[in-house]
Amino acid sequence: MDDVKSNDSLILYIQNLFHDSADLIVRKISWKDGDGIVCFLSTMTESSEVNKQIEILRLRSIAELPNWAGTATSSVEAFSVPKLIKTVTNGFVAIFFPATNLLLTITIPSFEVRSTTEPNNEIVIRGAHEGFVESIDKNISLIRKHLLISDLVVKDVKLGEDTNTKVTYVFIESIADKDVVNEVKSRLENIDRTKIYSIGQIEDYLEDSLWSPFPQFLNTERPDRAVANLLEGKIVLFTDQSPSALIAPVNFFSFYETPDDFNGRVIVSSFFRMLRIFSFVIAVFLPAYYIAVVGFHSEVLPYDLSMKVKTAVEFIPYRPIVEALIVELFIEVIREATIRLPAPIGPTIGIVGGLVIGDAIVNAGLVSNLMVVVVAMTAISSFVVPSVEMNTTIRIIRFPFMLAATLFGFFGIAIGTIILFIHLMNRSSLSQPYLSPVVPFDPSRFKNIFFRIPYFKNHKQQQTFTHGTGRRKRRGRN
Amino acid sequence: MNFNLSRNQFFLILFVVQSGSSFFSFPSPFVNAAGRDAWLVFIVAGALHYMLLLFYERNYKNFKIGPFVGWLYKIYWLFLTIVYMAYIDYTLAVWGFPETPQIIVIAVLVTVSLYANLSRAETVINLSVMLIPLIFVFVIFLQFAWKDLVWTNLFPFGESTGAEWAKGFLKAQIAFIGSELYVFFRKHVDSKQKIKGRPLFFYQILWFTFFFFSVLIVILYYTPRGLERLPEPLLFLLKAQEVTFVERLDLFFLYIWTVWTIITIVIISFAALYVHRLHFNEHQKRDTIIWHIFLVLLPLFFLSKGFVEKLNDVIIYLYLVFGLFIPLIVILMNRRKQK
Amino acid sequence: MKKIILISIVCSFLLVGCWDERLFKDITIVPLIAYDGKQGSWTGYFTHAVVAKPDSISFSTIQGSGVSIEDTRLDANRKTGELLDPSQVLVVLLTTEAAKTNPIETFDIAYRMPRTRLSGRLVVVEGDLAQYHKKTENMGKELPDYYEANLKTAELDSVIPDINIQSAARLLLDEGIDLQLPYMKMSEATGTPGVEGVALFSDKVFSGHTLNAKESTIIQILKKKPGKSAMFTYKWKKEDKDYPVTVTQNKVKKKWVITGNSIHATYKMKFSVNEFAFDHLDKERSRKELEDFLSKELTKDFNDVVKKLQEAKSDPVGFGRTVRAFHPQLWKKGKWQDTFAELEINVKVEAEITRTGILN
Repeated sequence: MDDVKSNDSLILYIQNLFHDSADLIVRKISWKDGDGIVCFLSTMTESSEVNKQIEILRLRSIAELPNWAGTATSSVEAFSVPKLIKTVTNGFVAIFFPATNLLLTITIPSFEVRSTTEPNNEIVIRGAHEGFVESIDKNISLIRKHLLISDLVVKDVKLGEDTNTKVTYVFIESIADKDVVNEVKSRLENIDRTKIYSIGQIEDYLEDSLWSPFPQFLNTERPDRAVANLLEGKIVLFTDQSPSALIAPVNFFSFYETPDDFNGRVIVSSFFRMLRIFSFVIAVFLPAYYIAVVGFHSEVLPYDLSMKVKTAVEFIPYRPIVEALIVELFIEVIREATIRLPAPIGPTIGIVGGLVIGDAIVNAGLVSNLMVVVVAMTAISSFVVPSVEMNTTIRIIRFPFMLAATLFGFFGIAIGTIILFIHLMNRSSLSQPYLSPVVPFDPSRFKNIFFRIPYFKNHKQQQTFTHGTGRRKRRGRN
Repeated sequence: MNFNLSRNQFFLILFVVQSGSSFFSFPSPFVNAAGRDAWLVFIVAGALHYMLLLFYERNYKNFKIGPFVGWLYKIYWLFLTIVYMAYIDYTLAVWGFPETPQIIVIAVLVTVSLYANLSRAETVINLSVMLIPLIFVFVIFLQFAWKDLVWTNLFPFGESTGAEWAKGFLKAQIAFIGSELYVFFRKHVDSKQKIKGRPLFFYQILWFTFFFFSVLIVILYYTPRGLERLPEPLLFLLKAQEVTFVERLDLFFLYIWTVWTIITIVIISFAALYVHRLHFNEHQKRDTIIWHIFLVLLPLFFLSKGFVEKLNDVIIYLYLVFGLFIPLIVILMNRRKQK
Repeated sequence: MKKIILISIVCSFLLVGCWDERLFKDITIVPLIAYDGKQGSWTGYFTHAVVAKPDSISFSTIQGSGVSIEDTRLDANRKTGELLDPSQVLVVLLTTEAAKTNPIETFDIAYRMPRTRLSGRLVVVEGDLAQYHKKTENMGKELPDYYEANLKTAELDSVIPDINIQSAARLLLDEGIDLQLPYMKMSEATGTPGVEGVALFSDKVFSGHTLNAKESTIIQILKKKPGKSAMFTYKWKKEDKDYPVTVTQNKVKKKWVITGNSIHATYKMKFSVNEFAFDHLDKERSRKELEDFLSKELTKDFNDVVKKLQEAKSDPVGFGRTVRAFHPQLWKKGKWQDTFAELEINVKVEAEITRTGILN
C-alpha cells in the first residue's frame, strides 16, 4: 500500500473486500496524526463499547504514552490486508492509520453464547450440572476453572481455508504422553480440506480406523468428564462453535465410565459399573442367543421354560430372524421418531408406539411375546452405555450376531465373538491399544473395569499410555 | 517378523497350543491305552514333560534352522492343523451340523484364522487371552460332577502291564504336542524377564494340573468299559450336569472347544508363517492366503472317522520326530559348529 | 457390484434358513416315553405336547412299533405332524419285560445320541403300559409332570436313588455295582401309578426282584446316599401298649470289614425322633432303651434286605467296588454277582438319638 490513496477510496476498497456486507461498518475518525479508518462487523462487536475503547486509546495517544496502543484489549502492528480481514472476521475492531501504515486491533467481541446448561444427552445425578457451549473461550475457561495449574496447555490450529476454523487441543504437560501429543499435532496439521466446521469432521480425520463401528474418540459435552480425562493424561480437542469435545486416546472401557461413578459411593458405583458391562453383553448377544435357541438348540431350554417358549412360538408365521428384524426395526423407528418429535408429543408417541402397537403386534400373531421381551430388553440395555456413539455402535453390531446365529446357531455366535475380539484387538485410538487394560493385560488397571476403586487407594498417577510409543503391544509388566 | 513376548504371553501361547485341540479328546484314548493306572502313568509322563522343557530351555539358543528344516516344520504344522481341523469338523458334524456341507464349516473356521493372521502379530499373540475366563468356567463346571465321582476307581494300582505303560506313554504325548513352539518363540521373550527356574516350574505345574485333573475326573467318573464307548467323555460328563437356568452344558462347551481349537490353529499357522518368513520374506500377504487355502481344502480329504483316528495316531510319532528328535539334532549340530 | 452380490447371498439365507436349522415350532417336545417289548419287537409310547391354540398346551400319546427303540420313534413320527424330539425327555418308563433285555444295548441310542437329555429319569413299571398313559383326576397335573413330581418326592424321601440315564449307563457298565431303578405300580384304590420301591438289576438285566419302599430306603442308607430325609416307623411295645416311633435319619457312618468270605458292615446312625407318644426321652434310661430297640429292629431289617439282595444276585450297594479296589483275591473268584450271593454278610446298626425335637 505504498501509493497513497485518498481515505475515501480506501474505505471503498475495504468495503469491496467484504463485498459490501450490510453489517460492515467502515468509518473515518480523526486521530492525533491524521485520520484513521475504523472497521468492524456490527453483528459481532458491541458498537457502544467500540466508542469507549477508542476514546481511551485516543486519550492515551494524546498523552503520548510510550506504548499507547498496547493495553489489555488492544495491540498495534504493521498493516496488511490479510491481517485486516482476519481481525475483522474474528469480531475485533480494526483501526487503520494510513499515515503511519499501522493497524490497531481492539478485542471486544460480543457473541451470543448459550448459558452453560447441563447437556441433554449426558445427564448425571450427582456431579456438576454445567456443560460446554458453542464458544471455545468459554469452554476452555470451564476447564481452567477446574485445573488451576500452569501445566494445562492449550494449543490452537487453524484449519480450512474457507472457514478458518480454530481447532484447539488441551492437555496437561506433565501427565500426557509426548508421543501422543505430537501424533495429534501432526494429524491435525495434515488435514487438508477447505471447509471444516464441525467436530465430526475432525474426528473422521483423526481416527485410526474409520471403517470400524467402534468409536475411537470419546465425545462429551461435560467439563467434569473432560477434566477427569485430562487428569488421566488424555488429550481434549475442541473446535470453535461446537459444544462437544473429543477425548483421546481412549479405550473401550472408557465409554462405560460416567462422572456419576466418581461422585457416587464406592460399592454403589462398582455395582453400576458391572451392570453396564453386563448390559453390553446382553445388548450384543441376547437376540442372537434367542434366535440360536429357537432356531437350532431348543434342547438347551429346561423343560418348564421350553413349554412356555413352545406355546409362544408355535403360531408365528415368520422365521426367528425375520421376527426379530420386525421388532428391532419397529423399536429403532420409534427411537428415531421420538428424537425428532417436539417435546410435548414425544412421550405420547413413545407410549402409543411402544405399548399399543407392541401389544397389537403380539396379539395379531406377527411376532411372539418372548421376542418382544428379548428385543425390548436388548434395546433398554443398549441405552445404558453413558456414551451416545457407543450406544449406536452396540445397536449396530448386534445385527451381524443375529445373522450369524441364524446361519449357524451357537457356532455362529462363537465365531462372531472371536472375530469381534480380533477386531477390537486390531483397533487403536491414537495408536494406543483400544482393548487395554485387557489386552495388553494390565492387572493393576484391570479391576477398574468392574470396580470403582476408592480414591485413597489410587496412589500412583494414572497414565493411560503405559506402553511408550504404543507401537508395541505387550502383556504383563510395562 | 519382529515381535516381543512377555513371559506370561509366552506361557499362555504354549499352554493354549498344548491343550488346544486335545483337552476334550485326550483323556479317552490315553486312559484306554494305559488302563486303570493311567493316573500313575501321567504323573511319570508329566515328569518327562518337565525334563523336555528343561532341555529346551537350556538349548534354545542353539536352535537355529535353515530353510530345509524350516520346510519340514511347515509341513508338519500343516499336517497338524489339518488333523485338528478334520477332528473338530468331524465332532461338529456329529453334534451340531450333520447337514451342513463340511467345506462351509471348515471355511468359516479358516476365515477366522486368516483374519487373525492378516492382522498384526500382537493380535495373534494376545488372542489366547480370550480363553482364560473360558478355562475357568470349564473347570468350575467340571466340579459339578464331584458328587458322582467314585473314589474306588483309582484302585487297585500297579496292575497295568508293561505294554500298557508303553502305550500310555505314547498316548500321553498328545498332551505334549505344541511344546515344540518353545524353541521357536523362546528367543522372542523379553530378555529382562526370567524364565529359568521357578517360572518354568510354575508353568509345568499348571500344565500338569490341568491335564491331570481331566484324566483324574474321567477315571473317577467312568469305568474302563464305559469309557470305551465314548470318544469325548468330558462332553458326556457335562451333558448330564443339571444347572437350573440351562440344560445341555455340553453344547456350550463344544463351542468353547471349537473356539479353543480355532485359536490353536491360529497360533500354529502363525508359527508356520513365522518360520516361512525367516527365509522368504517377500509376498507375506500372498503366502498367508495360500496357507489358508491349503487349510480349507486339505482337511476335506480326511473327514471320515477312520482317517481322523489314524491321523491322531500318526501325530504322536510325528511329534516325537519334530518335538524331540529334530530339535535334538539341530541343537547338537549347532553346538558342534560353535566349537 | 461385489458388495451387492454378497449382500444378496446373505439376504437369501434370511429367507431360506440354513442346513441344520431345526425351528422350535416344528419340533414336538416329548417329555414322557414308555417302551415295551423284547429283542427285535418293540412298542414305544410317546407322550408329546400339543399346542392346539395359542397359550394352551395339552398332551397326547402316540404309539409306534418297530424292531428297535429308534424304529418305534420313526414309526410314531409318521403319525404326528411335527418331529418327535427326545431332547426334553423327563421320564422313560420301561416294562419289566423291556428291562430284562440288556438295556445298555437296546437303549444305546438313547444314551449316545447327541440330542438326548441324559438327566431324564428311568422307571420300571409293572403291567401293561397303556394304563400308565391315562390321565386321572387324582393326578392334578399333566401326565409327564405328575411322573416327574412323584419321582422327585420319592427321591427326597430316600425311597428311590437319584438315577438318570447317564448314571444308569454308568452303573450298568460298572462291574462292582448293580443298577436299581425306581419301580412303579398302579394303585388299585385310586387308579393312579405310584412309586412302589426299586427294581433290582443283576449284571445288566432286571433280576425280576423288587423291593418295597421301606426296603429301598434301607438300600439308599446302605449306599450312604439317602435323599433329603429317610424315615423309619416301628411299633414299640411298652407296658402292653403299642407306641409308634418315627425317627428321621440324620447322619450315617459306615464301616465295612471285608475278609476272604464275609463282609461285616457296621452303620452308626444318628436319628432325630419325630413321633414318640411315650415321651420321657430327656431321661437317659428311656433314651437308651429306645436306642437299643431301634438298633435291634434296624439290624434285623437291614439284614433282611441284604438277604433279599443276595437272593436277587444284585449288589446295588456297591460292595463290589470296594472289593474290586482293595480285595483282589475275593474279586477274582469269579463273576461278582455270584460271589456276592454266596458271601456271608452281616450288617450291624448302632442307633443313636441326637435330637428329640419338641418331644421330651
